[in-house]
Amino acid sequence: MQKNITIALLFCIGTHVCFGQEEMSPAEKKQQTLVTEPVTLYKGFFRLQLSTYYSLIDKIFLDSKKQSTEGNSWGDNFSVATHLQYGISDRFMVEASIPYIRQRIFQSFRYEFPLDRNGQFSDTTKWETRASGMGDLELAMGYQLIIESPSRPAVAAYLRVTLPTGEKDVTDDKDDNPDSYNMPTGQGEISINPSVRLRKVSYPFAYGVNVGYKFRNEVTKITEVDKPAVSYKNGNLADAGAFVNVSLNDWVIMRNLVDFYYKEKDQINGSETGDETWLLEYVPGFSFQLKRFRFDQLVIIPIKANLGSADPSYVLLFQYTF
Amino acid sequence: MVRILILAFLVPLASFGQSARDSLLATERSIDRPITLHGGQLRITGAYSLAVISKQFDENGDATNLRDDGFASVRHRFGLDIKYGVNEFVQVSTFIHQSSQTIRDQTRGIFSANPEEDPNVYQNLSYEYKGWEDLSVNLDIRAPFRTKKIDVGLTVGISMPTASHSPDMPTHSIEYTAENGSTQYNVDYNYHYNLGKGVTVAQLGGMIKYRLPKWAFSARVDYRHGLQEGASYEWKHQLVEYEEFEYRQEFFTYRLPDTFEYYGEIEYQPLPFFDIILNVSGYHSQDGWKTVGRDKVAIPAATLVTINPGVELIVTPRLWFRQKFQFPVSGKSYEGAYTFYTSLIYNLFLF
Repeated sequence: MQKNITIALLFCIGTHVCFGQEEMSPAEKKQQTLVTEPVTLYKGFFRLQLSTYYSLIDKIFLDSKKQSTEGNSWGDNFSVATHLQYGISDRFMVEASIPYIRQRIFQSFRYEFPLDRNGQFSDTTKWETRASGMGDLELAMGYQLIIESPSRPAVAAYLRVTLPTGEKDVTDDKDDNPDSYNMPTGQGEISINPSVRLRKVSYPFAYGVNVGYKFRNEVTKITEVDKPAVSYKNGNLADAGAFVNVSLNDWVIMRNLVDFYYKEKDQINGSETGDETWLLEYVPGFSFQLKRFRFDQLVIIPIKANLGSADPSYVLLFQYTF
Repeated sequence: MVRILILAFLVPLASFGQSARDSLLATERSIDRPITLHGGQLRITGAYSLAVISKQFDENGDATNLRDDGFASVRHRFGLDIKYGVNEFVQVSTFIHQSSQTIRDQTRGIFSANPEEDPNVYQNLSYEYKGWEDLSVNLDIRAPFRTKKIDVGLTVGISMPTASHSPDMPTHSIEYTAENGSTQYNVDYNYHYNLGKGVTVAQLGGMIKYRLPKWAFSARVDYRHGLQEGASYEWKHQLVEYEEFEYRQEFFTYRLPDTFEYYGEIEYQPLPFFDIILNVSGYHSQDGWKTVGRDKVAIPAATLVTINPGVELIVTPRLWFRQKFQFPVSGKSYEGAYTFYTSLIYNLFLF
């Protein structure tokens, strides 16, 4: 009996050595996909990422339904962010990212005035509201609290801090139209966003959940042209999400994420303003891993919300691991 | 959400068991594929397109930028396309789309000389185009050439009036406000249109494809003709007691314009799983009319030329991923839409 147990143990150890401890080369590690890579970057690895975001301002959620806004305003929102990630150890990584933001809103209005009994004066006025420039810098760190094993998921904690490097004030664009102005590209605030992520790989699937909460401070800024600055505080933001990523082959991953956000009311000079907002969104996408290069496409589809844009947004990510 | 599932349900199908005939798909690059399916092959395509309609070509071909005036709009379109290869030379297919778009007109302010007696009026107009489009069924026949270098095919098809084509009743609203002695009316005119054509439309088309080891060149033309005149109505409204709207239907008859669609396409296959596509497409419509009262008014002839680069990835032999951009180049009496297409294509052999 003892002999049998010894053989069985040796077999288990042997199997473990053969299959469980197989070391990957650094080059192989750099080519791991979204499903197979660990939740933080390996020690000494440097990753450069460019992310682009494009959204349209066409429909909004009002009374929990997708509706068109009144009038004919039309806009789009485009940003490109550069992310630099570095693995300090196999469990600890840091990241810095800075976005460039371009937002435009176009609108026109036709007015008619009576001149006398027989005639009227009519004309069309149109204006464009823009935002263009660098946004707020974000610094982040992530630490793997628990390394994934066959019996338990990976658990990682992240901390993101936003610093107010972007323009925080609404500014006059120097044209004659009082409705036209430059929108800010930053929030002017310092925010702290701790979050936790659990992930389990069961090839070809990787699934998990994440929760986070963003604390935002009060800031003095100009929110209307030719008006004095006010103390403004964006509402704190809570989010929770669940994801399932599927390897369709060795280099193509289908991504699926469901996210829920809840934002408290904003405050102006200490008084609450506006509404609490929430958003449920589904984010499908594909990730293509070509050696060390990764290209991801995502579509953010708002499902239900209280206020906020109801149109999908497009996200493209380009990553290279050095 | 249901529309998202059109795309999403294709992926789990990828885990279905492989059949012996799948080796055909595994070895066939995009440029090698015959222009009809193999016998017994089923192909399901789920597609989504986002069109940003920010340009309008007038009857002289001059383009107006709709975005600058805030008139631009967005069209979301979902499609499901199912093809089946009866044998190596005959294919049947059916496809249907669902689409939504809202066009918002300028707000119009009509100001009174004496707002204490006559109110100021603010008018908003929106036109919503939403719903299913008609179901189409096609039959494709491929010429039985011995060479694989060239393919020639013929398509006959029909689009059936399965979708609603008459507009739904408008949902106009009016709101009265009085402030500081002046009065104001806010009037919202909301029109809702369906996307059916209302008549049966016949299609006749042809295609040719020529292949080199890493290149393929193809051209296609399709002609569509409405088989009968259609009848529909427009909603007219009347404000009753400054409180609510009454609606009535005003009938008209119409003939859909005949349309020609054509394209030339170059494909380059640098890798077995990766195909680069450059497509130049054209659209022309003419000979449509609509009655206005007792008069028959011609629908202006319209043209559009677009350039459409794209790529196709063979994710697995059964599952393909295709993306395409459409850029409007020139046109007459037609919208210029910047469109982004994404499709997931799943193939299997039933028998």
